[in-house]
Amino acid sequence: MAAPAGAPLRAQQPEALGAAAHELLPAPDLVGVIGAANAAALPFVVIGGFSVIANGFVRATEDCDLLVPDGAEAEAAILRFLERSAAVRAHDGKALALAEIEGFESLRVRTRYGIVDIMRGGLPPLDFGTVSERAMELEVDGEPVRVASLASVVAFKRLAGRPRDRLDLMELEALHGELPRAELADASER
Amino acid sequence: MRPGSHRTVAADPCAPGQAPAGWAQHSAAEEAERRARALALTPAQRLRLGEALSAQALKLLAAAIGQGHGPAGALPR
Repeated sequence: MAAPAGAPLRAQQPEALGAAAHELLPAPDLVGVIGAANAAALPFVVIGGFSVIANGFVRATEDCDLLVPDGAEAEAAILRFLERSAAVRAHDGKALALAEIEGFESLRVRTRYGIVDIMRGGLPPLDFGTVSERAMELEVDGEPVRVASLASVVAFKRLAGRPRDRLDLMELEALHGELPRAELADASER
Repeated sequence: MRPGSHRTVAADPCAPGQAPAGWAQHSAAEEAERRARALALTPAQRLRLGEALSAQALKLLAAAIGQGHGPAGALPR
């Protein structure tokens, strides 16, 4: 039975919404993502929600965020990772073209391990080299993985500045005390 | 050369608004998709998603704490 006009969206056509929701699933499989990235020899650091969790604030996250380096070698590894994880573009479900991988700043893909966001580093201290150097080196289910340190997480969150980023920072500060401040990049090195 | 890399480094490179354009677009896309998903989930789907996310979170946090990372209060005394 169709819901009356003006009913909340979730009350309308529940089967269709259920199907749409299923397309937005599955839940992220972090170990699957790590395994595929390692098998593809992709250098990466886990950032985003999982890095917040690893630094002590347990909250929901719905995708895996990876920071990757620049360069042709990294792009080749990204391609291998995308193939291994059966990745398609998140917004339309289509296969990625090589041109989309060359020189991208961020990619959002749907994989067999859930949604994965792949991002290149920015300016220091959020460049891949600095984030990777400062990362926690962990092992999860036998898979080695670098996860962003507290300093990097704080820097990313301050940069993003969304309400939930500010909440993450508040919770991390409650856990860790005064949070690290970003070191300024040296302009003379550019 | 990465767009913006030639510019003078801002006094605080991590201040809001300094992110590369691609990151800002990614962030907006991620928020839109998250809201759409939250709206579309049935209660049963929410439960399954929550269980899966919780399991992932605990596994990761346990790995971090077990290897000496995490908040000081979480480490064995």
